[in-house]
Amino acid sequence: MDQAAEYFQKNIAPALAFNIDFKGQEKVTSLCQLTTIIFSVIAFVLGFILQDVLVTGYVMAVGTVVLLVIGLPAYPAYNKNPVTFLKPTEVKLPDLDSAKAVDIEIST
Amino acid sequence: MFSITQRAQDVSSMITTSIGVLAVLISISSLIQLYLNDYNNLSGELSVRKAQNSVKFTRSFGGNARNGKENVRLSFDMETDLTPLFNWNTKQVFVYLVGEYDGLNVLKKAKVAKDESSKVVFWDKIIRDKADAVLDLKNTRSKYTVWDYYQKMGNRTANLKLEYNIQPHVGPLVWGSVDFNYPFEFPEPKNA
Repeated sequence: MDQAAEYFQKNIAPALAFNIDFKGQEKVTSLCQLTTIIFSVIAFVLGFILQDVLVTGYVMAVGTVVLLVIGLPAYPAYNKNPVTFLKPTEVKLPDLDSAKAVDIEIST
Repeated sequence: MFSITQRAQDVSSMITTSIGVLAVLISISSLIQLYLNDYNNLSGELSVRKAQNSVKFTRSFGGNARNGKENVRLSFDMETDLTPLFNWNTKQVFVYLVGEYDGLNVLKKAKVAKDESSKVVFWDKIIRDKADAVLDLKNTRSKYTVWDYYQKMGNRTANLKLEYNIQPHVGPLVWGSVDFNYPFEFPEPKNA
């Protein structure tokens, strides 16, 4: 059970993350907010003119589907500016084996 | 956002916020519509064709074996137009014909306040559609036989009016009444 969970975390989960980079993140949030506002306004105006609340509900349902299609999948257009990480360099770690133990005096 | 779960959370928060804002806007706009339609000044006509008052001695009519209870039934004609109450936010309108009369302050030991009033419901109906909102009833019998807390109902004058309760899809409940200006006197009981 533990081994299966570890295998999942190491190999399968990163592939399911569908990451996008930061510039793409900006684009997606602003685009989603814009479409939410547009669909809400259209839903309210159409419902008020036709005097039917069901119209408002249906327009918002369509807007929800559009939002899911726009926002959830990791399109390559959102991955145009990948994050550049630094190259791995040699770091000098302190030598713990030869470290001197510090005597701590406990005052009673 | 960065990963798909974060993006899903962001999108769902936008959707629920927009639904909440839409609900508030819909309820406010429908209240404004009711106010512009002058919903509180409806008028109509009512006339009582027949009324009878009989004393009942059973539990289901408010009495017991020793003391009877005066029960009143009536049949009436009513005409009114309730279409100003219907807009896009109206789910249904519950109308009920009430008779409002003064409390009985004759019995001193009951300690009834002088301005207490009682309301009894004779008939009610649920209206779901604007097309059914024009009420034109002829010789309709009351749905419920009514009785008072005290025994005596005969010769007391009641003010009959039609009260309504607008139940919206979103928003607060709205109450109102159509006043017929019809003072109605309960008849004497036919069996003592």
